Amino acid sequence: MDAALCERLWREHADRLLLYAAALLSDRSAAEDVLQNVFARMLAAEPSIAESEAAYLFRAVRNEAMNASRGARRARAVRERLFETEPAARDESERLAVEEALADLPEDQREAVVLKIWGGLSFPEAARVLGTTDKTVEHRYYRGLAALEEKLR
Amino acid sequence: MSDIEERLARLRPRPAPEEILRRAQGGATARRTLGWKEIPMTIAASALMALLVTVMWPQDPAKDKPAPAATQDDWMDGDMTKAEVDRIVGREAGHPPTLQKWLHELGSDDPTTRDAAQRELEKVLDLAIHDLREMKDAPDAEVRARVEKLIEAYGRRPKLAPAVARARKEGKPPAEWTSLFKRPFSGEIDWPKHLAAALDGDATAMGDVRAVGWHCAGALADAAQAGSAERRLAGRLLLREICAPLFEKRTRVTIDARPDNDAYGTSAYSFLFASQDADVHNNMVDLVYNGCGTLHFNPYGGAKNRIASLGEVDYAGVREAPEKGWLKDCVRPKQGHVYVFEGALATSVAMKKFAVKFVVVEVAAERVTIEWTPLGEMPKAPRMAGGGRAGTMGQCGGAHGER
Repeated sequence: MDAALCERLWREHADRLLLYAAALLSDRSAAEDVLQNVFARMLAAEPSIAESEAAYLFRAVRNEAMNASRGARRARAVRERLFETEPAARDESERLAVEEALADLPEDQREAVVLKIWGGLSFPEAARVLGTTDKTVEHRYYRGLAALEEKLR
Repeated sequence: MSDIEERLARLRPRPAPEEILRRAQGGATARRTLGWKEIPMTIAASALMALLVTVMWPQDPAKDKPAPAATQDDWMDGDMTKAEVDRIVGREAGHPPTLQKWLHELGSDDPTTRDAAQRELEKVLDLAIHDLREMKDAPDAEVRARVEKLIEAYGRRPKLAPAVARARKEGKPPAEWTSLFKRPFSGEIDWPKHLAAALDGDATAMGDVRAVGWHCAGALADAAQAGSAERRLAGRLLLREICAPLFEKRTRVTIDARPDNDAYGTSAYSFLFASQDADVHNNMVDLVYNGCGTLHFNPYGGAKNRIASLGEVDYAGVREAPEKGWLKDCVRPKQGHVYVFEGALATSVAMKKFAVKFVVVEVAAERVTIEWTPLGEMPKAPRMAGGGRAGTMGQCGGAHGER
């Protein structure tokens, strides 16, 4: 892949791709490795991106994360820091609360919420990433939202 | 968009470190993390290979020098490889280094020893990061928690390259460095040689570099970059230490005077909530700039805050609250002076203390502008604070001095 295109994809998508991988793996360093592998492979090959770039990248990250988690020891109950806040910012407690609530969500709902809210994907795009139907993603998303709303009340 | 969607969308994902892309562009796929049991075999295999290579192909000394880095970031802020770190800490030569002792002490039965080990490891994260990543699944929950904090600290550590660039621009020239020594000194120092000696671990030279501080960061970085892998790692550790004052973030706030004892508005500020917004601090404020020209720092009943005035000292050099010199109620801000504020936050469980330092950037009868930095970790701000409802507490009757 052309280096300039790769740089652009990085600028536009890297933060949310890393968030998605970290939400899948509950392990920030493993998520960074996943992201590195995805970009290294794209640079080495000439991938044909026929769909939306975001959907393609999220699916690549998901596949790589699945491979990584197969080889890893079982997931630990770790609450990863997923979001950015300034030191001493007023929404620090909000960040912690959201991270905790997200970590407690069932994985399929968590994925749907992360892809939609922070990934910025539409339901059809998220469905392509997850290999399921639009309706299923929508259902998981709204169930996830309801659970989050309850936990964050 | 529903309320909950809006609330979630307000949080931004943590930025992806640029070095991941750089590594990917270098053609590298991420390394597989080794299990504990694989390490001795790997070390043995690499040692055997190194021996074979040395015997069969005598090394050219010039080859020991690393290839010039593509950018400053590449060597200052990227990961050192595990092989480089192992070579430097002498593990392959069979000398148990202090690093291993600290890692072991993270699981000590004595809390003081655990804390001390964590503090020491925080200073050498570049060296310890590979071992820490291996310990993420340690059976001891206490060790796991400390290891995760350290790994997170490694991820969050500020970049060295911008600090070094600033030091090159703003630092004192070499001719003035000896004037920064705290010991009596007359004579001259051959700084290029002295910096190289510091990178090689010479105690006197390292002491002198620490005394000069961030002013010599540019020259030290040059010496490290031109040297061997060992010197570069030593350089990273020493640079991180001396550049610490340049990493500090300051929050700037302008506090307007409150001549009429009215509601706080922008005439008050809460360090704890980092805000002047009454909806956020709920009137639990730390500073009120009253018409008397002083900053009142115990504006509501039950507050037990205090402020020490340190005068025109080096802001970056203030690391902790002083032992004495505390005022109990109000302070008259002076431009360029540095102050330490100590707050006490009463929770349902205990009284938590926190401290911040601030410097007065500008002061006038109408407003005062300060820049502040937390000294240590700030307690979590409570969701509901307990200040007065109207925001008119801490009223002042007229002119008076500090007290």
